[in-house]
Formats: sequence, structure tokens, C-alpha cells
Amino acid sequence: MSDTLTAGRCPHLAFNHRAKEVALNREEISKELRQTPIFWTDAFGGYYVVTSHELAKQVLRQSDFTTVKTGDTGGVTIPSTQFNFVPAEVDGPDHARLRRALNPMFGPQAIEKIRPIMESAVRDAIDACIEKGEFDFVHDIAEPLPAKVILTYLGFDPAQAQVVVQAGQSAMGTSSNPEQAAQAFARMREVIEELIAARLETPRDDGVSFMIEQDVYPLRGQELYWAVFTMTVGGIENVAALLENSFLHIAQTPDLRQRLISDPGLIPRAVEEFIRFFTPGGGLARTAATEVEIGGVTLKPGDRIFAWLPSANKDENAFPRPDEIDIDRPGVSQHLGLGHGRHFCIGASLARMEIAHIIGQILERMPNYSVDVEASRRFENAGNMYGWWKMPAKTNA
Amino acid sequence: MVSVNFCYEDGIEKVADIPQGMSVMEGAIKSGIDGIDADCGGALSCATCHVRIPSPWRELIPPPCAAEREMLEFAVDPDDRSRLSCQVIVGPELEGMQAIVPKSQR
Repeated sequence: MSDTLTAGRCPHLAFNHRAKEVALNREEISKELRQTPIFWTDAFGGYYVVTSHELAKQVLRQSDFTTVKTGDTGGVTIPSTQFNFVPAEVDGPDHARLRRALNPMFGPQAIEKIRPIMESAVRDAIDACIEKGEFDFVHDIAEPLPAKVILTYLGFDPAQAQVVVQAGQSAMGTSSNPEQAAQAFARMREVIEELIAARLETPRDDGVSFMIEQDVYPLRGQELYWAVFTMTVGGIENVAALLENSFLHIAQTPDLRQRLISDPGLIPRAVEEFIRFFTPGGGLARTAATEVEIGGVTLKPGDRIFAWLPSANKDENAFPRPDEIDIDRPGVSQHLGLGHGRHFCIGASLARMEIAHIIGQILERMPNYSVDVEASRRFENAGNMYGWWKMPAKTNA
Repeated sequence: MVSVNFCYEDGIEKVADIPQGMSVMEGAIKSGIDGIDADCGGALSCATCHVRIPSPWRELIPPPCAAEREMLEFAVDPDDRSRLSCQVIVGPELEGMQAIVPKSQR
């Protein structure tokens, strides 16, 4: 009853961020939504949605909003998943300790350790594309490279890595059969558990061993499993989606392509603007932990709220001319595409490094590449992930 | 308002006038200072608002807490002058303070 009253003071809109129409027309829909900074939708049992940069920042930053799951609700997604994202769905003092424990996995020293793995993987993948002349950017570069980087770093062997990649694709839309997805995830669980068991017995110099051996926040059992799971999936599909959109945009924008070829030092700036513009992982959910007012609306404890980042990242109050990709934009890094606040993406430095390196190598080694736009296809059944499942291209050497 | 000079390693300086009681990071973001990204918004979950604060201002600021010290290890090339600017609150004693923005953040 009080749900209706609370929601009654705030506009109601019909919105379901996972709908196919959102996946296919995200720009137009998000543009319309940002006319309404906060609204209520009845989808998935009902949740508030914030679309302005300011309100989205508040939701992601304030401790009045929690990421902890209670029963079958809560967490960082709507609807809640069967997965437990660790550390994303841990909050409060435990979360602070957990981040302190796990942050070094992606700090400057760790990144330097990952760099050689990444450089050789990128070189091999681009060699293979150049050899063929025609390739599929999604399946030959965007999916396998980030997977190879994060999975090798965590400690998976190449055969196990293939299982993980398939599970990711099943979940995200390249295969849309729920039964197949469940099987793929069951197999993925086995592979992760095998790796954990092996490292518990004999640690090596890799990410999973680091998680086991650090003593700031001893991780064992289910919590350890979910932490490895989160690092695994978090490092692949978002990076792939950003790469795909960037690759296509550069192909369609000759001036930008030329600028980035002549001055590769601009690539990291371009990557930030691509993250803002394409916002690969659509939105982030929170739950009100206390009574809290946001954007003039009072939420009760337990109310669900969703920061729709494709709108927030194109809020004209934060980013003038938001619908233009402008790599010279002042304050380019103020986007929320990697989250904001205490749950800010733990792997952000790795993601930025690998995206910039891959784009740089493509522009150096196949500067005249072209994309078959007609034959390219977006995910249709995962509105929260702005990726592609097919993008045929030619190296045009 | 307190003036803070953000200095870049190529010799360029930019001044931001920051209200007392606000953090150096927030003041920098509001003034569009390049190189202070503050990805996490001051939650001590990243190190992208790293600055180097030289004497005599360094001594005027309360020392970093344990969480800030740990997070500074993730900054690129931290040294004795390194601070996370989200943890430095502006007061009148910091008028004219220099905050050196590391090269890696530009």
C-alpha cells in the first residue's frame, strides 16, 4: 500500500531496461528518459529509475543505498541474479576491508605483470586477422582478448578459459537458450572450483593464489568462489562491448581515425569518451537502506532504485553536446561508465589499459580496416549489455 | 575562497578558487582541473585524485589515515608528498597551496 503512496509523488513510466527495444534503440529511449530525472516503473516488481548525472552519482555514492542482497531481492542488478557478485554485493565495513584486500590485484604493479601477457595475445590475434584478411571483430578480437588477459592472470589454463568464454556468451546474448546458459554456467562453476582447489593446495604466482594468500580479508568457500566468478565475468563482456562500439565508430569517422593514427597519445582520452558515450554496462541497482530522499522523492527502506547510466552519461548539464563523441571534451573522465563511489570498478585500470592497447595496435597494424555494417548484429536479448554478437570486418591491407 | 595552484610537470599552472570546507578534489572537479579524475567520488576506492603537496603546505594538513595510505600505494609513483586530494579539506591556512598533478594522470 505504502509503495503506491511513495511512488505516487513521482512520475510513472513504462520502462524495462532489459527489453529488446532498449537494446536496439538505446540512444533514443535514453534521450527521452532523461527528461525525467527520477521515475517509477512497474517492471520486475517495481523500481525507481534515476537518469540525471547528479542523481545517479548520489545513488552510487551515498551510504543510504546498499548493494547487499536480502533473500531473493537486492544486489547490483534488477532483477536480482542467482549469482553473488563479490565484492560488489558486499557493503559496509566488510566491503571496505575486502576492497583493501583485493585492490592490489589491479594496482600498478599487477598491471605491469599483466602487460606482457596482453601484448603477446594482442599480437597473435592481430597476426591471425591480417593473415585471413577478413575476420569477425567480435569473435576474433573483442571477446577472446579480454578473456585471455583476465583468465591467464587469474590462473586458468587455455582449455578452461574456453569454458568460461562460452558461459559468458550464453549469458549475454550470443546464444539465447536459457537451458544452454544454465549448462554453460554449471560447467563454468566446475572449472572455477577446480582452479580454486588446485591453488588452495599449491599456490602459484597468479590472481587466484593472491586472493587465497592475502590475509587482510581471508576469502574461502562460497565467498572465494564468487569473488573469482565476479573477476572472471566482469573482465570480459563489458570490455568486449566497449571495444566493439569503438571499433565501429572509428571505422565510420575518418577524421578521428586519422587523428588517432597520427597521435596515438590521444587514444586514452578517446577511450574515456567512448566509455561515456557507449556506457557498455547499462545500469546499476541499489536498495534504500534507510528512509532517504532523492530528487524530491522519499524512498523507504527496501525500495529498489536503478541508476540508468546511458542517460546519466549524456546529461547535458554534465556534458554539453552529449550526443557528440568529442575526445577533446573537458572533464571527459567524469562519466559514470565504470561506476562511482565505493564500488567503482576494481579492474578499471586494467580495462583502460587493454582497450587503449588493442585500439592502438589495430590502428597501427591495420589502419585501413573496414566494417560490414549491414552484416553486423547487436545483442537483442540483453538490454543491460550494449554489445554486438557479430561484426564482420576486413583488414584491407 | 582559497586559491589552490594545480601545477603540471610541463610547467603549466591552473588556479582554482575553492570554498573553505570543501575537499581539494571536489574543488578541482568543479573548476575543470585536468588530471584530477576522482573516479570513486571520494570513497577511498581509487587513487585517481592523487596530487603531490610540497612544503610548507604538506605539514599544515592532517596526516593521511590508514585507508588513504593504503590507497596511495595504487597511485602511480607515489612519494612522501603524495596525498589523495579527496582527503584534503581546504582551510584559510592553505591559501596559495601548490598541488602537483602527476604526469601519469594527464
